[in-house]
Amino acid sequence: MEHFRQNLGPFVVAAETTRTPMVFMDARRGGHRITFANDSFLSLLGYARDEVLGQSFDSLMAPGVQPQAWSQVLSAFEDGSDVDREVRYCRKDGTSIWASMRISPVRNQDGVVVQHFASISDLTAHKQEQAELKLLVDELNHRVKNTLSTVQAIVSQALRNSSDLAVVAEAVESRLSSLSRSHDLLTRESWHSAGLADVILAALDPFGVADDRAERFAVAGENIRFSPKAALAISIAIHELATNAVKYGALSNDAGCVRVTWALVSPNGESARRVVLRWHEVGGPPVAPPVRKGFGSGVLECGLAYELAGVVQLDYPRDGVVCTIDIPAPSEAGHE
Amino acid sequence: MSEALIGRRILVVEDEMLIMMQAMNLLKDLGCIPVAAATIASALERLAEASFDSAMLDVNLGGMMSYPIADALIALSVPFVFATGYVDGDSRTGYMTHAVLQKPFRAQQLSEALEVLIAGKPA
Repeated sequence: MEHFRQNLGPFVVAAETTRTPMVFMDARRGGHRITFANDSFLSLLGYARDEVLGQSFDSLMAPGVQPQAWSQVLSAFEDGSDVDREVRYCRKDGTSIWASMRISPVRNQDGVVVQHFASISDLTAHKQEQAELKLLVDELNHRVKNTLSTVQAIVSQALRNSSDLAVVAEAVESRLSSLSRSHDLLTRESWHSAGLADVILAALDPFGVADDRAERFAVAGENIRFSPKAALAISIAIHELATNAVKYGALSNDAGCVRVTWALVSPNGESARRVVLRWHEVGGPPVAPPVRKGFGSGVLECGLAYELAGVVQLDYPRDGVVCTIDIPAPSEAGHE
Repeated sequence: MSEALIGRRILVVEDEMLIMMQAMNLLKDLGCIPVAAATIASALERLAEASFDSAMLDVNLGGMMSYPIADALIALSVPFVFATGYVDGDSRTGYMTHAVLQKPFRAQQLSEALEVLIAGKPA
């Protein structure tokens, strides 16, 4: 090391302090004995300097490298080329790193190779990012395909329920816009979970819960966190109930109100807690049970019940629709 | 409508509510008797309760892979088709020989897949 310092001054400081891991090796002794290793090299592989100096580069680096990849490294010593393939090396503690290595011969005045110089690019973080990106792209693709399937279901259900194109168009638009708002909410929450109060208020937003019809809604309950899937299902169900209320129920006149309330309950003799949500319309025109079941009641009585493994009861008493949704509480039912 | 599918009991495992309802409606239109399940636990319960002619299985149920259901279906000799939004990158290792419906699928693709499954099933 002293010899280097005397001859090369500032270059040694550069080599010692650069972020690029570097080593010099003696070409005239077998196994490529290490004569210089900078701090980056030591920290990359997890060795102390005295564990490395004078050691064979080959025996330090070869363990854990696939034989075929290692023979590429060795051939780079011969021709001074890049080992541009990504090779996995083993650190002192047994963990692995991905790196590419460039090996160059250092010749004396007679053209004899006296040293080898190796510099290493650590690709571990890059490899990890690549893997994470691949996972993310796969997951995004999966979500896009599922969303397209959901859109397909919405269109097909709308066509099933009416042959009037204006009605079909309105139903599709309104449901897609509701789906889109639920996605916005879940995106804000990074698709981890969503609070029940937030889900319901977002679903009721186009029905004026926050502005022109604010006084006609009473929404009360804890912001219990549900999974994205459950949140989407609940949001669709609330949208259907509200659409129905605007067409036929409490929101179809100037006086009716909708009460949406829910609570965590622990039924007698059962350890598992449940969330019981009640949608209750009052003050609307007299209610008559529907002649035929539409998409909305299908969502509630079939879809939501299966999706959330719950019990959904939809009643049509004369003074206002009542829907009771009784579902298992999320396993870690927390609230804000 | 294919005669082969009429009255067949089909287990539908799907955790996206609208997609599940859509599949149920398609199967009813085909004359099948669909039975729905949205979780691994409920699917296994349905399989324990009654026999099925075939099944349609979503690969990813809210982040859980549906392979335990696939294993149960294989053990019961119930032929099934996977439904998935993954083009590749999912790890259907060990189940690669099973039929796959890419989402979104068309009604005809579903009925054809089920016809093949039911025709191939030993009586």
